[in-house]
Amino acid sequence: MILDILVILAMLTGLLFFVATTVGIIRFPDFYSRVHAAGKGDTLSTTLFLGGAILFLLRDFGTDTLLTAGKLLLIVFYIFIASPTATHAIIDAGYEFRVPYWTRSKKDNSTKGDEESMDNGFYPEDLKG
Amino acid sequence: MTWDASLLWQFDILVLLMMVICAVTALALEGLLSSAIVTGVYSFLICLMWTHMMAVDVAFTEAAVGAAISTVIFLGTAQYISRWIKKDRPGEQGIKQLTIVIAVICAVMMLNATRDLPDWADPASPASKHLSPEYIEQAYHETATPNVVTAVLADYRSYDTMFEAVVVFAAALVVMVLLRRTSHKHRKVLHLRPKREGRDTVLRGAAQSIIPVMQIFALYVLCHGHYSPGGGFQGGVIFGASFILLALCYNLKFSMNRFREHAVLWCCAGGVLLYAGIGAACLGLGWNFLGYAALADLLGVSEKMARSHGILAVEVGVGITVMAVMVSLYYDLASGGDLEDGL
Repeated sequence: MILDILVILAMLTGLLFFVATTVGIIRFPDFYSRVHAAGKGDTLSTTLFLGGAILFLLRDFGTDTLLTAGKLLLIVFYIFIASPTATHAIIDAGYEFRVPYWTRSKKDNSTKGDEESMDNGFYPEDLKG
Repeated sequence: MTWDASLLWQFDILVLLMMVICAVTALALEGLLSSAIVTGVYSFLICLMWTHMMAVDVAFTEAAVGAAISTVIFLGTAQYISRWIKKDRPGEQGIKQLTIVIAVICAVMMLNATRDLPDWADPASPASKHLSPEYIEQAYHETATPNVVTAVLADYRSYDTMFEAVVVFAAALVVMVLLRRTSHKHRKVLHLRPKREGRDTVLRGAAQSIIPVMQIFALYVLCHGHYSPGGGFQGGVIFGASFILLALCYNLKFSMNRFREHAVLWCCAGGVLLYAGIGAACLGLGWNFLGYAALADLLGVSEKMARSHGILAVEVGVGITVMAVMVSLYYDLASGGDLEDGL
């Protein structure tokens, strides 16, 4: 019974984070924040979903379910490493190609719409090439 | 539990719709990189469909080959190609319209032909009546292999699989003949290649923790093909992907020092030769080509187990070839053929 509630709770939280991820990808203003939303939200919600599935499996405890739960745990481990790494790589590549990022101050001054609010001039370090 | 496909027809329609959207988007996008990614998404959607149809072996192969490796190889290639859509060129418009007309005619013909196809999983269809029941009933008793797909693939239809491996080998050969060249003075133009010395710590750490697991998993998939979905093709692709991941997270040179071009080519040919060699050994022992039962005396087991071991041996051959071919394709395509510098 308590396990059931935990499963439902994990699944619902996962779903909530998925919705937040989707909203973030659509609504955030620039490349970096969108990738950030996708990376963070996806990792956590997938973990929660699979965690819920593991708990659901372990309701009827046995060798079979334990094996399946172990495999799911490996998938969780893999996603937990691979997904943030991929996000990091994408953002790093975007940074090196000087993908413009969003700033508030420019947006307030600009009258020409969203395109102008993308800052393309300022970087803290001079990159090679 | 019996599986009723009509349970999830909404799911089917949703996935099909998304596949059509992906296909149209891949054609409409101007950037080749974006098209490659969308093609990968398309492959993942097909995986869902096949899993839903309980064709898990096929879905596994599609996930490994279509969605993962092909996308990476497309990305590696796309950095050398830029697609410019030149508008208002007189000859091209006509050819484009002609292509559309031909495509529409073909589509209409094929859609017309689907009416004659049997329903999905129709027990009265010729395919389910004639040969399949025999395989399903006999496979375990004749080859001691619970996974019927593997038994059919590597035993009953082993000629087919052998020449599939040869086709894969030929693909690597053709890419090599077309692209391979010695390094040249003029530097390649790599628009999309970031210079990222000394900033790969995160990637390298992740690669170090994932690659060993990946390689063990690939061997597991290869060897466990008798009992679960998997086999030579999937295992080989995953093993090859581990070297490609190494090349992506470090660089091409690092990966090539671990797995040199020479060794890659030996593996390419060696896998196919192992497969054909086992067939020839069976022929030499007085059975048919690839009749694994001939190996029973040699291995000291029953004919049934000999067929099981034969399946494993040819799967290992397929795995070696596929692994080496994937690595070879990546080396050639990602470096533009001179194996000097690349994605």
